[in-house]
Amino acid sequence: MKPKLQDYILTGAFCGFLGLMCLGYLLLPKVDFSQTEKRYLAEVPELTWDRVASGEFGSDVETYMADHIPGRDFFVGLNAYVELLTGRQTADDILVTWDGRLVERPVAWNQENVDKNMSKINAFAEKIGQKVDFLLVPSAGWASREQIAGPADPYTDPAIIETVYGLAGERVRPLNLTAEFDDPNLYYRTDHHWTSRGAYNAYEAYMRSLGREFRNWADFTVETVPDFRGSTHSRAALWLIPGEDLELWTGSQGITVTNKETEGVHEGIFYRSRLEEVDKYTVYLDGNHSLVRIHNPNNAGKGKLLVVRDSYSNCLGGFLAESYEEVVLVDLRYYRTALSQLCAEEGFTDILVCYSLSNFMTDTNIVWLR
Amino acid sequence: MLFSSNVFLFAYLPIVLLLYFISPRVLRNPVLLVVSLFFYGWGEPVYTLLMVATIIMDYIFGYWIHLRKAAGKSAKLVLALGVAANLLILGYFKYAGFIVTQLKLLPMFAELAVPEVSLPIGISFYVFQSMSYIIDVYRDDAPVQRNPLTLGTYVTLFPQLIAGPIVRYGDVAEQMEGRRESVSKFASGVVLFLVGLGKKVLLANPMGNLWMLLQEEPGTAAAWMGIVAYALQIYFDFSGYSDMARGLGRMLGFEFLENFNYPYISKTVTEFWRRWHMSLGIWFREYVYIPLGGNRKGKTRQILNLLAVWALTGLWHGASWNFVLWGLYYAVLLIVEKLFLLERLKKLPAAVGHVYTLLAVLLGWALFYFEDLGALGGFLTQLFVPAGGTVHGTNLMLAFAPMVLVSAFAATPMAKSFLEPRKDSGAVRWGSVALAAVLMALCVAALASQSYNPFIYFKF
Repeated sequence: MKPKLQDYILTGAFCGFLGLMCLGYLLLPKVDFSQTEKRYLAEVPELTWDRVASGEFGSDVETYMADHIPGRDFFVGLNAYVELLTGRQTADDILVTWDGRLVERPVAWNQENVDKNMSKINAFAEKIGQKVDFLLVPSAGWASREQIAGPADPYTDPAIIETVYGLAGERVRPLNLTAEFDDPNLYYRTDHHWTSRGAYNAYEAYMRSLGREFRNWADFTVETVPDFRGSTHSRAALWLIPGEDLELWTGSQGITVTNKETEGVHEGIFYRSRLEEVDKYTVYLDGNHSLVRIHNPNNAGKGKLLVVRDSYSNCLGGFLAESYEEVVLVDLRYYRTALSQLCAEEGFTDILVCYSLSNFMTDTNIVWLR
Repeated sequence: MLFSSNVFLFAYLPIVLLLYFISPRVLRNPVLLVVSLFFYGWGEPVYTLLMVATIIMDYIFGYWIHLRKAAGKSAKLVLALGVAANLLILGYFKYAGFIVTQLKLLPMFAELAVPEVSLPIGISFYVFQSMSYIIDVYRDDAPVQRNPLTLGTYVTLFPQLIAGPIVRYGDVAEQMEGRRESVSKFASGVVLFLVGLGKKVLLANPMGNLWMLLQEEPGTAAAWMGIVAYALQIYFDFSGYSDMARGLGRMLGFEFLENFNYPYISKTVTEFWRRWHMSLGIWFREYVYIPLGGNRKGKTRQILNLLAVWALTGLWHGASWNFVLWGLYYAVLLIVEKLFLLERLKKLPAAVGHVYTLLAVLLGWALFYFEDLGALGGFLTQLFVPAGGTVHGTNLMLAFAPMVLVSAFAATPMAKSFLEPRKDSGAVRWGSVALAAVLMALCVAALASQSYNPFIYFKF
């Protein structure tokens, strides 16, 4: 049979594609760290007889080739769109809304974790003999629940928060902000965190509830940084969804920040070198640290606040420093010393436990609260 | 090594094609042998030795049978020895654990230690292929292979080494030396390979995912949707693999028999088994059923033969009672059909036959899937005792509905019967080029995404 033109094209294109991909592995510069995944990619597998014989070499090569496939971002994105357009996103962790937001799927109730976490918080309040304020932040998905594209499980954040608050002990004072947070614009489109406006609203509401002074939103200078692509953007891999603005709200001058992991004193609450990264959220207080201390010299004598927290408070912390002389932020994922000891040493005026609902439901480190 | 892996697609295959096509004709079989052994040894290098030993053994048996026949003597005993040796290898590596576990139930064997043998990949396939060689030589269905390297190439041929089709030696004996590669064959091999890859990566994997997810869900609907998803998964997985094998074979100049012929459109279970994993069915028919007398020795004997073949077919799929049960389940259905049901079904509307066959096959897959009989009972209860499901379950089913519909469509010959008469038209020819490109891109995309794993919380 005489080959047709299409036969030559098929043969040439197939061999050409495989060959080019093969050469791409060998010739393209090796990327060690994936910015979107925030992880180191697999190393070149080590070739030893033992590893070959046990078959480990083979699986290492597969891992390596999967991590370093030429055009990886393109292919991952293509697959994400195929899944989205065939309607399969319900099974994914990230859902898309009709107005182009990327949100996490509904928080699943976890009785065991809730019981454990609440008993720890209650016991902690009893132990230090002081009132502990408790804020759970509803999820961005709940705020956008009317807009989810395709079938999605119901978001029941208010009911969950209500139930959790019902378990609060005598010395724990829940702060219910669900009504205030029923607004998608208080969250990022491409990240699971609240925006600066969201964090500010929480700050204002918290200060009002304590009867403390707060800095009015109009008294901040706001600087806008474009092109922020956050965690849900990386996870969804729907690259055509554009980045968004991130805001830096500057209030008092002279605020300094120290943290346990880095030497020295940092001027101001923003770490601008972090703006070079894809996920710019770490501009706030340099991302996660075990213990962060924000000092505001303008508020001498206005007391000290302890915040037991997750990453939502990276942004909130800067606002809280407008009302206290010192704000200490402790992240139990990394801070393993007894907090009651710190309380005894520092003598905090107020104590706040602030978590996003999804973190509170899944985090297993609150057991370190003691 | 799996066809649907980056290592195969972007390292192994381009290098193999290059080596193969730059080699002169006399070296092509040896090249294939070497690269096939490499392919086989990739995951578990040790078992390459077992493979080589099997080839040498069968080469000797084949030659021995040939010598005896040439000298005018009976080769029956040699054949029996050869078959027994092959079965012993399969028996030890696949069934030793199972057999000892059963023996331990007897008080006198209670102390036996269960041997820990890891199953050499593809052993069920290549042992059957090797056996077909010595049997075909014995029956004069094929000439003896004097070149051990060529016999080795036949047994190890990487396209069909791991999951078939089970190529009978008699069918490819001539191709081993006389095949011719061409651009047209290569191009049609590319399309066939990519269709197979697409079946595996784009249809079977999502269906498998849905089946996994639905197993967590209560309710009758979830159970039915789940078993349908599993039926689609196993079909596309297996027939996709067969298509890839046939496509690769064609690129290298081989023509292997088709292994699947749209089994889910069957109107009877008998028909289903003529369309499902055809090469295995043919193997058992040629080498077990017919030698046992088939249907030529009366009804009773035929029924016994069917039972024997199907118990073996079941066991071939795995060393576990549920596979035997699965095999016997089909034996019973086939016997009932032969006795009277086929006649009755002919008189009824075709739809009845379709529904009956699909139900029978779906239940068969439930037997096939659950190795634990308790879990099987639980699943059957979920299928037949009406119960509501969860919102999440409903959402999952809705979300996967488009893919289930696409898969169900792809399991019918509708597209094929539309395209087949038009296959020489420009539109279809260009269409297949476009289809190949799209399939390649989507499959690579799906494979690349498997390792895409963003960390949300991280710390250096």
